[in-house]
Amino acid sequence: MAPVEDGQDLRDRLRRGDAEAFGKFYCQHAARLREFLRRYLGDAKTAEDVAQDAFLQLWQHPNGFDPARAPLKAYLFGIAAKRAAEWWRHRSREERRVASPQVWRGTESATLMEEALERLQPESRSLLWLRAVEGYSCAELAVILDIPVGTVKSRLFAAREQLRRIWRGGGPQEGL
Amino acid sequence: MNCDEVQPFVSALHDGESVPREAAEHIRSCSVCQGRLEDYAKIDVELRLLASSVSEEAPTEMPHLPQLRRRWGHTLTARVLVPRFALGVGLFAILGLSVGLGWMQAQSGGLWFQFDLSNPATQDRVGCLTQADGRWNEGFLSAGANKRIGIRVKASEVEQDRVRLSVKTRVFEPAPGSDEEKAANYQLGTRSEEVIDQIFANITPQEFGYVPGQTLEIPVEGGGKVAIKGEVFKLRPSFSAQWYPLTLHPDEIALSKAAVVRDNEFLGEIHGGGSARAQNSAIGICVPPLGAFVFALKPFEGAVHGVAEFGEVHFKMDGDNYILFSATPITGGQQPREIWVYRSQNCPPSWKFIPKHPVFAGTGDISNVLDFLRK
Repeated sequence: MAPVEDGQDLRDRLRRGDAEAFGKFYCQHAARLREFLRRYLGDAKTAEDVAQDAFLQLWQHPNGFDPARAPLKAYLFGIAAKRAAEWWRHRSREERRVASPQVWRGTESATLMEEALERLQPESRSLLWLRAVEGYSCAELAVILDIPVGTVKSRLFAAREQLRRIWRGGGPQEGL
Repeated sequence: MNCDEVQPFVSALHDGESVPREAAEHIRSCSVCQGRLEDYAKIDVELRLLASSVSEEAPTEMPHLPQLRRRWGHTLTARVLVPRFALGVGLFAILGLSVGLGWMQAQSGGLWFQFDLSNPATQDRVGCLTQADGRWNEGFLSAGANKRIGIRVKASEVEQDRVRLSVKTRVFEPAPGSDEEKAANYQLGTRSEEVIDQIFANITPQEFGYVPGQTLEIPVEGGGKVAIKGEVFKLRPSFSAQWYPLTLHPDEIALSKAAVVRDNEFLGEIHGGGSARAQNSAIGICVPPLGAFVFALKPFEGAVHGVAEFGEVHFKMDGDNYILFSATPITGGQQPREIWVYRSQNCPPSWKFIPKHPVFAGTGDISNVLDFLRK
């Protein structure tokens, strides 16, 4: 499938309620969004539900973002991150624990990284994922997560260092 | 700087940002910090590898997209951000418009009183339009033989439900060719005011409180009566009723601000108005490029039958359905009533210009109108 340009034309088409353009946008980003949410929430089914909610919100409110600050995809991930954070806030400790351990098992190094990633706080996991996998800049992350750029940088550093220590065989420091 | 102090800058360096010179020098010479930098890079690679193992998954079914509807309730009640400057301009504009509206209302001078003056004995009528401006309005009506009824009406107050009127009226018989006769026939031009003042010089005004919509009959000095019937308007009526009364005689035909439509096609509007009262009252109009249409109240050779009802005439000609509209009733008497329409292929041949829009092409008796069209 040809990629959908994340530009003015796409925004205009979504604002006009163009379902075909939305369908292409969905196919292009749904899997990555689900994976991001799975990392954040630790549960594939919940990740699927939150991803669907995020897409629906984008469909119903295509004017809710500022194209000068970030692309449409960032807006989508921002919606999803907020929904995921809400989900975490409204779940009990037991539900969160049950939600954690569904991981994909692959090579040894991948398994190590997978396990290390799981031991991070959800916010740290999602931040690292958005930076390393989705390739968002600090400025774009500030828009997505609705926090200052300086906070993004300090949280990125803390999350990296925490993951590095776990991955290298240590444990996470208290407070991280 | 030591390794602990430099740690945040290692992360920043990994993100492609510039770092202070001291931090850069330390990282360049410190194997621990370089190891941390390499670890960050490896972590990113591992994370991307993890992602690549799932990103090829087939997408799940797209959520059902609800029909997008304009949410007027939300739209109307949602808060909007308005810059202070724009708010100031908006308030200023509202204030300016309010002042302007008040000024316009003051300039408009109040309500308008539009009325017909008529002689119940002869059914002769004339229309007038006035305000409470203290100015006299004249009308001259036929009173039989060579006699005329002169009426002067002045409104001192015009309210929605009441109009205070001063009326002077008398019967007189102007000498043929005199200024009085010319004034009574509206043919005296700028000198008419002086002559009219003389006509009404010794008449005592009568005062009336008139209720709009009713018919007020006033005794005329010298015999007979005149009737006043009118309505009050907030804005000046878009057409002057002065020459096109709202109620016409059964043998009278009139058009004001008329328009012609053929099979839902608007052919044009005729500015102004015209009227005729004759043995067979007729009005001709030229509607380019169709030619001239003549409307008469009685049958005549070559005419087709149509139906007149107040401000409309419907007729069919050459397979097309026509409607003639007028801002005032087209004829008097019982409505609807028959009317006859004739079409000439050409406007008067003597015309040296070809009109672009519909225009009047004669009023009067049908014979006179047809003669004019043939000239």
